[in-house]
Amino acid sequence: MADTPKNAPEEQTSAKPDWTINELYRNSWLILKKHKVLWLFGMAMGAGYSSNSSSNFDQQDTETLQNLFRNGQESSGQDLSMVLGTATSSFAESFGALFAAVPPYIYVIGAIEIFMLIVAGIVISIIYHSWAEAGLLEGLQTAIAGGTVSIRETSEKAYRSIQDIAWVRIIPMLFFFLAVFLFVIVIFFSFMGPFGMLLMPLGVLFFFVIFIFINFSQIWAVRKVVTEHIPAKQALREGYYITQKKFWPMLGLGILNTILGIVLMVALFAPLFGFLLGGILTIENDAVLGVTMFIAAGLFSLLFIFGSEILTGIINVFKNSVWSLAYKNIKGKYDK
Amino acid sequence: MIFVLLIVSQSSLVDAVLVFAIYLITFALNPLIVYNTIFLTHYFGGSFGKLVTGLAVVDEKGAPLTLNRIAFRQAIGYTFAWLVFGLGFAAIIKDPKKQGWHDKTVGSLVVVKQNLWPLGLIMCIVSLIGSAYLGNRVWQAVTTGPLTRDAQVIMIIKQLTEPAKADKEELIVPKNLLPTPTPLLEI
Repeated sequence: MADTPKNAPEEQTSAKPDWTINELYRNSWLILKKHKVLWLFGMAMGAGYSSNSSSNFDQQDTETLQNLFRNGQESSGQDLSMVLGTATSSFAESFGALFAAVPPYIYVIGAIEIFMLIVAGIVISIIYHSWAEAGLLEGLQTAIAGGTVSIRETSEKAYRSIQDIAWVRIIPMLFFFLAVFLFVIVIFFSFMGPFGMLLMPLGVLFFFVIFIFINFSQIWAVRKVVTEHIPAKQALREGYYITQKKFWPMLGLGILNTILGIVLMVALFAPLFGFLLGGILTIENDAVLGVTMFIAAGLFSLLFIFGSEILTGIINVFKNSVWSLAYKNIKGKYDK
Repeated sequence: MIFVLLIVSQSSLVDAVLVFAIYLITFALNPLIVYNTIFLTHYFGGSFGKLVTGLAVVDEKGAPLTLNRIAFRQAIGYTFAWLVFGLGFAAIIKDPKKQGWHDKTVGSLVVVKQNLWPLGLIMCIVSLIGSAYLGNRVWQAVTTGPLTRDAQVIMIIKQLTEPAKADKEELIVPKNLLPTPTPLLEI
């Protein structure tokens, strides 16, 4: 048996990839099947916030309220009769006179209140989505570790990460959109002529790449916030560092995830479109068939309304599970 | 319902608009009213309905909830519970601790503080009867009240100030308007 030469170059073993798509998708599917509670957090992430206020209206003293508007009653009748008596008064003027009879301070108070409600709605929406994402990531961490996921424990753990996740999601995008806005202003007022026209596609490409980098950095950053409990800024910095190292594998995985999500939504939506189109095409020649198609489309639209919420939740859970499993494989490997 | 009755019972459209504006700033747009359950639960242990029926919202150890948790429960927990057509509320039926999803998010429980269910039942019946009565009054006010007359006068003005249409269409004046023409009205 011949000895191997001493100076022979070592066999270069191909570096084992940090993850394989097959492994990630298989494990994500298992997590998705086993921990249906995570679907709720996925749905919450995908749901838009609608103000869900329930106000218990207390009965008021009607006499007190009568006194409130009785003061304006004396002049209001004269104003209206003057409006009605003028033949050249237009409809808009008549209507305008109605609202002009309301004291200005009511409009001011109303505007302030509307502003306060809008601000409250935005704040609540941010907290809701941040909590849902934190809950989903905490739940995935528990599921990957083999534990049981419950709303109570997952929600409790998610509280500590709400602020940092909101920072990670919002601040970079604020700066990004500000930069885009300034770029658009520059292009708009550009006096460079043909160079300005060349700058625009280059700028679009540049900002598109930046947008992808920000999104990828955020993927790792939120996981660092949840698993390692580090501040948002540091998490974002470290997430960006990992993105630099793993950009192309991330891009491939991201594209696959996006395609999967689109295919699933189309699969849910396709029957509805099919029945609608079939109904439109057949209604003239065969009314019975056309009406049947429209009824089927109506039933499918109900299914779509119900199913799209759940499907959105499932897709969110799956995608986040894929990234969380990938993060588990690279955790600590690319830290600066 | 009381405010609706007040609005439609006014003698003129101007007063109706004024009452509506007062209603908006006092109740519909007032953040203290919109989020009143947060303050009621923080200071009294529950919203109006819970207080009337003797229920209270506490944490899992029986202590009152903090303001942050109450605000989270009312603002965000309820939104979470409304997922999948309010399945979070239906979950109360099967839960051993009778917690909905909004309760699970903050670790709250709804407990019976005092047995006031007869009072709650009476309030429910009274409010149903009251709503039916007020609804009937509102309907009568809308169909036959002074606002209807005022609104019709406004529509006549609209027809008069659109000459092209006024020439082609026959102007229909409701009978209840004919006996009392406004002195300054020039047709």
